Amino acid sequence: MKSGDAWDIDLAVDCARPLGRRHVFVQGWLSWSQDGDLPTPVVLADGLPLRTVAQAWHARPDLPGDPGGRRSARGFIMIARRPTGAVATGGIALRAGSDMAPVPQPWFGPEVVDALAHLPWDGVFALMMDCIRLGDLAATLAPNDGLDGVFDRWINLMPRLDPAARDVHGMAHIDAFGAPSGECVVTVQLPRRLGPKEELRVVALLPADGGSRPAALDGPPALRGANGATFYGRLPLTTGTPAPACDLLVELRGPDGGIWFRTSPKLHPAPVFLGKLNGLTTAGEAAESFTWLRGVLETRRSAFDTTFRPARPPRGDMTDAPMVVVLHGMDDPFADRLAFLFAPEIERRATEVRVLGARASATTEIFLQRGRIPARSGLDLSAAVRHGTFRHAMLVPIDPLSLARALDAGGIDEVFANQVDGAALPHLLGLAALAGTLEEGETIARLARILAEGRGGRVDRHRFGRMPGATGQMIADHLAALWRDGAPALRARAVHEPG
Amino acid sequence: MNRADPGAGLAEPSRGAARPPICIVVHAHSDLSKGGGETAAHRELLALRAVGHEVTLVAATEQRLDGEQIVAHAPGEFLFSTEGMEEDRLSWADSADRRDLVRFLAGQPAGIFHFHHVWRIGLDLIAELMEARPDARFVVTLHEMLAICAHHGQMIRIQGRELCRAASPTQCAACFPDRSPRHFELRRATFLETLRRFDAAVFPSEFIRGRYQDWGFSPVVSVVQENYLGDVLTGAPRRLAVEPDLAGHFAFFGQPTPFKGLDILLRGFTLALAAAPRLSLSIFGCERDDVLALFPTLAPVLDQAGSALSFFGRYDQADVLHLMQGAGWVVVPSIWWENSPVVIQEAMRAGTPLIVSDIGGMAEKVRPGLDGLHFRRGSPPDLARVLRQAADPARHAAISASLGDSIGRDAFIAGIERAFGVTPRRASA
Repeated sequence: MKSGDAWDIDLAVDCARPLGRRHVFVQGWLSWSQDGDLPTPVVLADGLPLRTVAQAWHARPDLPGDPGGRRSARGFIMIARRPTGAVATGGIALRAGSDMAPVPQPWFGPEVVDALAHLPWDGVFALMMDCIRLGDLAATLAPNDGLDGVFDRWINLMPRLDPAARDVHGMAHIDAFGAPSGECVVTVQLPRRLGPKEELRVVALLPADGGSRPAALDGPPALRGANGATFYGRLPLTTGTPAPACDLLVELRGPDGGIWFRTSPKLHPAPVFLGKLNGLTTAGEAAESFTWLRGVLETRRSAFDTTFRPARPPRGDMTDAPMVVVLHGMDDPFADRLAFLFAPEIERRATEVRVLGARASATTEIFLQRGRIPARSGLDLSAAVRHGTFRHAMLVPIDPLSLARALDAGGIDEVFANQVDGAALPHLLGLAALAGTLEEGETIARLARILAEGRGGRVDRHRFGRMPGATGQMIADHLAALWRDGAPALRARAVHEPG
Repeated sequence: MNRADPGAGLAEPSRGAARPPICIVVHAHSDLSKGGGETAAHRELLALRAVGHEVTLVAATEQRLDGEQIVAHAPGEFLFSTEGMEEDRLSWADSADRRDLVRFLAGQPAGIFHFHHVWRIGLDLIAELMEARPDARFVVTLHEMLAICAHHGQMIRIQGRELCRAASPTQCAACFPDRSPRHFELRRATFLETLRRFDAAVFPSEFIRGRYQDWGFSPVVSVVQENYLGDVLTGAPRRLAVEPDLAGHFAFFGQPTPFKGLDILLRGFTLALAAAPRLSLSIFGCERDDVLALFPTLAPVLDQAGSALSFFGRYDQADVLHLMQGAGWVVVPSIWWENSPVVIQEAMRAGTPLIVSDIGGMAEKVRPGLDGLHFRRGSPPDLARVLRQAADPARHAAISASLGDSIGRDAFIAGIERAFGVTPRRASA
């Protein structure tokens, strides 16, 4: 559908389709005199302009050339919103300048999902970013029900690359990795210098109903280097903990074209994730990298504050809450033997025992053979949070070394003083995803050390491996601060204690 | 062997009775092996019975017992199999075996359980028995320092054979690079907690008591007394007359282990021999080939000693006093601490003075100038100097005259009854 224009604009519609009940999708092209501004197309319904909520432009090299070189032409994709409750009776049209292109009824062109699959990727990517950004277009992203999931077919066209691919699609190498906290990093290194207008953008593809749903990744602008760029972003906090494994859709786009691909980032625990990020940034310019990384850490801290700042729900007196002893660090034959000696005392105080560590089975056997209280190996923190297994209980983490020291000091009451509110385990899981390993033994051990520190015990100096340099120190301090500030909220309190 | 009847129920509580029955639990039976601990435990059994105590003995064995866990060995004496234990013999891998043994022990009509060693018995078994018999009194004799030191309780560094004076997790991990300091901290806590649950502890020397105290173990009741040699040796006559010719004749009794210091003695003796050709040395307990198998570089030393050196091979324990009485001095050159060597007790019983390393239980038991002479541990030249001094007949006669004797039965029973918390009995004739 093509029309001419008194302002010397040629306007054409290739596809016009409803998008759900409230939007209209229009795709076409226009050409105009080079000495004029880029015209703005508007969708009309019953002669009234609709609000354009998403629009993307793209090149149209398929259009017939202008022998004189006096005209420009560009493709457009747009989504306009229809007024609530309004039903178009007078038809849909497109207007650019004074030119008007009526859209034949009932609609015109291929289905949207097919149209997008055949359009230039820069335009589709840009439209998708708009759809992600705009809440009321979220339905277009989900792969279900009729017209929903309109980007699916296009997404499926994306080449899949290994997250550590080398020499592919004009790139020297890529590196894509993520963390259970929903954070992702993509770095692209080129065999040439990065152009000043080249931009690296990344979208997450969350699993949804057999397909994938594009989702935004929040974070600072990508860090630019001489030959590449590094993107950091995190999924919305509502995604859940641990965040689901997702794919990434990556665009490195400049004025003269771009590279698009899909990859499955390799997941690492948060400290490893940050360590790898540190390794990438230290390869760049130091001061700029430091500043960028600090921005990343501030983003993380902000996410932490959002998650942990809300006041905990009021709990009743936990004094009588059932006690679940979590024996952790059971990885030595003498840990078993110590537990054997200590078993009657645990049975006297606790209603259940959970055992963590390389020799958890052997220690669990001790309690099973005695048969006084239930005992199990493992804690399965994620499942426990999902099912609310311990929400009414008080967890008491005990490691054999603390027990050994308490025995040496002549009293074991101290080892029962670290009490974790079972209702606060979702917070622990979130903390472990953001600042820990999610390995339950390590998580419980770290929490126990910090709680002991809060009661005048030893300062927890257990770092997550070595991280060199100023940025490494910044990361280590950041992680330590998250645990230091997050752990106390997990402590069980008696009713008379302040919150 | 007869199958033992473990008994169905617990005995009547015996605590508080003047002379409750006693059950000795020991890591081996002296009929089957000749170590100091098992020998001491069996001699205790006989001594206690001799003065009217009701005593049973339950000993570990590595022997196969035809599928049985516990068998009768002699009247009131039982053997249990260690097959179900962990490889280090400090706890039980097969809890059913442990339970059988606990049930058997708990069913003994004993008011007192006296453990010799915890190795081959099990820390877990002790804890479980204590839980099953809260009415009973528990006593342990610590013959060695296994609780303190993972190196066979010897407190001697693995590399370099240096003496270790105090265990610490980091030092212990340096001896065992495949284990962490944390492991040793847990090890210590486990042993210490087990030992602290005993009502009393018997130490065969002040030296070992001090080591345990430094390590953190101070029992509620602590008795320091040496092992009893048994009625036969204790009743045997001592050497009365001192023969001047024996002053230059030395003897060694024992196996050529890396820590017994036989290599030091042979080197020291050869040095002394160069200056005093009339000296002689007799080795009891091994042959020349046994020595060379362990210390191959000693061949020239042995050749140099020539006919002054004699090997007599293994000996019958019943002959030990007689053999010792044939020597002027018994030399105990161990390079490790030795807690309370039975050889020293036997030499004293025989009436033969001693030359010992100046450390640990040896230095404690042999009063210098009264019971014998000391030399610097591990030093052949110093030993050579002392051997030459010892060859002086006047010195030999003087020390022989002041030489102390081994502990007698009455003194031993009084000490052990103190540990048992029972009313001391009147000394028997």
